[in-house]
Amino acid sequence: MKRITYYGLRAFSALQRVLRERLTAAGWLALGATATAGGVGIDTTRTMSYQAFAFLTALLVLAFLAAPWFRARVAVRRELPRYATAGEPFAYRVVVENRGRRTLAGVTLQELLRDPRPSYAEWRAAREPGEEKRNWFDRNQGYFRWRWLIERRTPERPRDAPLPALAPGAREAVQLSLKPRRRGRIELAGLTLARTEPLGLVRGLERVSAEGTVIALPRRYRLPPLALPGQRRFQQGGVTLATSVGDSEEFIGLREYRPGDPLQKMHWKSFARTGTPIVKEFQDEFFERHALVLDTASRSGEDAAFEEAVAVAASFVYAIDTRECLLDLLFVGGEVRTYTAGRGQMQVSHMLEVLAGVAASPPQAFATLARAVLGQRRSLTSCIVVLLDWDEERQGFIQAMMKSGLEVRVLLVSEKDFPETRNLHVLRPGRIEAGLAKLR
Amino acid sequence: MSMPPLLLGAALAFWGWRSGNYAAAAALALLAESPRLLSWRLDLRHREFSRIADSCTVAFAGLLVWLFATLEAPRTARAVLTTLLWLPAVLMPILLAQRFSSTGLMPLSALFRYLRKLKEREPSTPDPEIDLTGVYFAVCLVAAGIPNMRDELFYAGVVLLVAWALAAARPKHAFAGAWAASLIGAAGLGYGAHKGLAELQASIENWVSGWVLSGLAADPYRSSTDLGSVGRLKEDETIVLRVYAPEQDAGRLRLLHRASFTSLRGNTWIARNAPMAPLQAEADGTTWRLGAAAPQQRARIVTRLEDGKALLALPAGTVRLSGLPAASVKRNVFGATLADLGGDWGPYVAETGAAEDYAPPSDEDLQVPERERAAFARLFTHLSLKGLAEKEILDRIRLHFAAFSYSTYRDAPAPAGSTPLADFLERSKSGHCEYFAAATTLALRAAGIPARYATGFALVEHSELEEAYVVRARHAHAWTRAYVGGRWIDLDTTPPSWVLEEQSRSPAWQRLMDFARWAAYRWSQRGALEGGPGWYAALALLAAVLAWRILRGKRTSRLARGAAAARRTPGDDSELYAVEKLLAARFGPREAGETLHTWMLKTPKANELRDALTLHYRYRFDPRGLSDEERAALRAHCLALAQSLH
Repeated sequence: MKRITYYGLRAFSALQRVLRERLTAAGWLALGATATAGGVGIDTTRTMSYQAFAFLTALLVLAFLAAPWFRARVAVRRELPRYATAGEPFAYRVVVENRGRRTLAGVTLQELLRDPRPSYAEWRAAREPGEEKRNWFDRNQGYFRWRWLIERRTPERPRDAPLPALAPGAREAVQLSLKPRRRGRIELAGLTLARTEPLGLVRGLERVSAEGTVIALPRRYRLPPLALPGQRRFQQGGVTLATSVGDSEEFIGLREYRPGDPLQKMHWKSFARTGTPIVKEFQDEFFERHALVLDTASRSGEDAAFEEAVAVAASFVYAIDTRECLLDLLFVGGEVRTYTAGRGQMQVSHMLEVLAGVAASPPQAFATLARAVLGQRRSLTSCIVVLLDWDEERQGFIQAMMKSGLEVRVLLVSEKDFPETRNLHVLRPGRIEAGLAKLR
Repeated sequence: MSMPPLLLGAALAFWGWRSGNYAAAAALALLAESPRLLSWRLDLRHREFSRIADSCTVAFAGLLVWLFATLEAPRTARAVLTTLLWLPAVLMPILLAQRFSSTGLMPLSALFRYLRKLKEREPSTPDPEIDLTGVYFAVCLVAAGIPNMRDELFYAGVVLLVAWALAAARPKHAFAGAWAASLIGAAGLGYGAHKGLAELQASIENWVSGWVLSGLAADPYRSSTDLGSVGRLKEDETIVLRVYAPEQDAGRLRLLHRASFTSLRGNTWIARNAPMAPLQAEADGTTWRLGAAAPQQRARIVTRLEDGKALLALPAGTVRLSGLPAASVKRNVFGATLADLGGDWGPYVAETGAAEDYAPPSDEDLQVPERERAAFARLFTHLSLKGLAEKEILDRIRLHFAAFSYSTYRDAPAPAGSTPLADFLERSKSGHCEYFAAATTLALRAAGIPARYATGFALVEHSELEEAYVVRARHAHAWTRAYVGGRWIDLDTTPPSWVLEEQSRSPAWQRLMDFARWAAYRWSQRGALEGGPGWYAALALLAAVLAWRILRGKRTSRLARGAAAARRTPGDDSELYAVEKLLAARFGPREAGETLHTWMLKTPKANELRDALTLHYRYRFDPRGLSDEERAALRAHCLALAQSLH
């Protein structure tokens, strides 16, 4: 039964897309006028409106028949940035070369996105944020859920960009822009060239395939200058941890081999001279290591609070200066994942890219996350925790962290009301920036 | 989409021509083109747009309701179509609001309450600004098609106006020739299509019309009876006739005849060889002659019309109809009279005379159908009607049926091998008026007296509220018309108890419903609503008040728009500016980007200026401002400087 609804929604979305691509503003007006004239003139003996209906239908039919006469052979090349930010538009250039024999005039350019329609399983499983507010029929039929799923995947596109007249063999660059609605990958399938047929009602389309991907990083908010607290802790492994290739330079001296030392540290010359294993000793490093724990265990899927939590985490990643400290990002994505940035480990942009792909996990996942973080607390200087809820499990976790002497800063992103304490800051989705400005 | 100039005016003129409202169309066209002629604009906010849109909605709904109440049948279709016809006038305020606003566009949420509520909850909802002129143009074209003047000019007009609009929107890369060819092709195709549509509708109507049943409209050609049907007959309380006659006439008017039939085919009576022929009205157009005799008594009747037509219910012996403003009246030889008046209620005065003008008896009037012959032969024998005089036969038959009982309930169909009439005659001896009438007719025929089956209404109920006799749908009655003594007389053998029995089954709320019916009837007879000049003046005043409330203080002038930009800053009345002008005249102007301080100190007057400058800066920028003495000091300094510079 739901399958029928699903196929109906698919067909409806396809029809909407076709009409939106093909009809100009005048075409829409003509379609509306045809429908109205048809309704009013349904009894041909009572009014004359059926004649207007016949004429307008004939106009639209001819326009649709004339539209496919547009043929263009072009080569396109896009110059896309690698990253964009959700909620902010970015511009890029497209170079179009006319490979045909006729001049291309009056053509507009529009991006072609991959089919954003969700699969049947995805549509059934998804839960639109705020779905409880809709009435029973809407919830059951799932039209608004369908629309939400499609809207998430399609970036906002402005109207078609006009292409200047291209003589055969000529090349022109056009500026296009996109505004991602949400973090994630934006996959572009190609470009559509459109030209209106002589009546001005319907556009003829020519699709050119040209793939491209842009990664939309999560939204970031401005943070006040934070003093990250805590002492430097001993990081085992020294600077070797902090460099990805080669040895550390902080060579202090030589000492005797102790069982367990890696063979790379062996100083062969001394070994040859003395006959006993001698290893090189490096300066042990003490530096700060901060943890950013992102709670992804959400009961209501990827709703507004979840997206804001990701945005808050991204703001911290962006703001913390990782030249002087390490930043560990921990969250649950199937299993507990840890990403470390700073001192040559991971770039901030890569960490933001990781955050762009974070998905919600089931509510039970928080326990695994808590265990992993508590296991690591010895080596942490301070901890910033972004939570989605404030229940017993999470309260216990925070208390355990604070008992081990860690400086813990808790940010709770939620619509509900919670009492604020010195360590707990409540941020409301929609007013995050104001809430963050109160941080010290 | 920008409309070419004068297109809206042309569309409105087209609308005015087709609908005949020349004055209104001229006024609307002038209003529609006025934004092009007048250059002032109003600063309209969202709230004003919403108010104007809501007023238009109210006007639309009000117009629909008023038309529904005022128009005659068919009510709904005509009310809807007339409201749609006046849509260009109703939507004009919205169009004007949009075109006179400083942005030239209207936000979509002004038109839809749903969107407004959504925006309140979520301010980030997209609320595009739209241009309604194209929609208005389309509305004018569709509205112009509503008046039913069937000529070719409407199509030509639509093609020309649409071509004009499309010419303005023609894409620049398209060849004019291709455009023109497409347009002409579309015009031709559309012409063929609309001719085809009209023919399609005609053929569909033909096919369906066989299925259409007639209700109380009554068919003068056939009357299907409920003979043999099982179960209880439906009873309808609707009032179909109102008879305004004094009490003494009640007896004469007891049976109101609508149609007569001669042949019984199965369960249906048919009037054979009786086509409906049109009558000619007399000079005044409301009097119709039905018979040759002189009218002696009158009765005023008002009948309910079905689709503007009705079979008139006439007392026996009606020779003339007066006060009947009908478009046409047709009559057949059995006395069935069909009048076409239009509207819901048709009044007429039935004038009766001594002799009526029905067709003399023919062979049809003596025919007994094959399958009933046996039963009626038995009745003939049972009553020993052979060789008796006509009056005696009538009495015996009447007496025989007087012993029968009236009922509208039949528990089982006629047993196999017998007809419903035979069953009625011999076994059940109980039935409703159709049984009695049919049986009497056939019995008389079996006895050799020509008889016809007559249908109509029985006048039995007097209403004090209406001060008239009311005839309801359930008072529909059937009786026999027998040819006795050279004339046709009415013979009703249904037991008189049928009246009481019907009445006892009327519902308890009948009095309430009757009151509502009376009120509705009085309302329908009130005559056309005429608004005197007082009404129009009041309406104009209200409209003016509404416009004033919405638009007060909104007018922006071009000067004001420019002047608003130049905001007043604190301290700009400082006298130092005058000194600056004098210094500029003397020593050269200040460069762009150079502060007053730097520039003035370059001039030879630097020392005198220092104090004045400090005070001036404080006057301009210090939030605490200057005290009165300091302000006076600044003025004094500047005055002294100015004098020294002259």
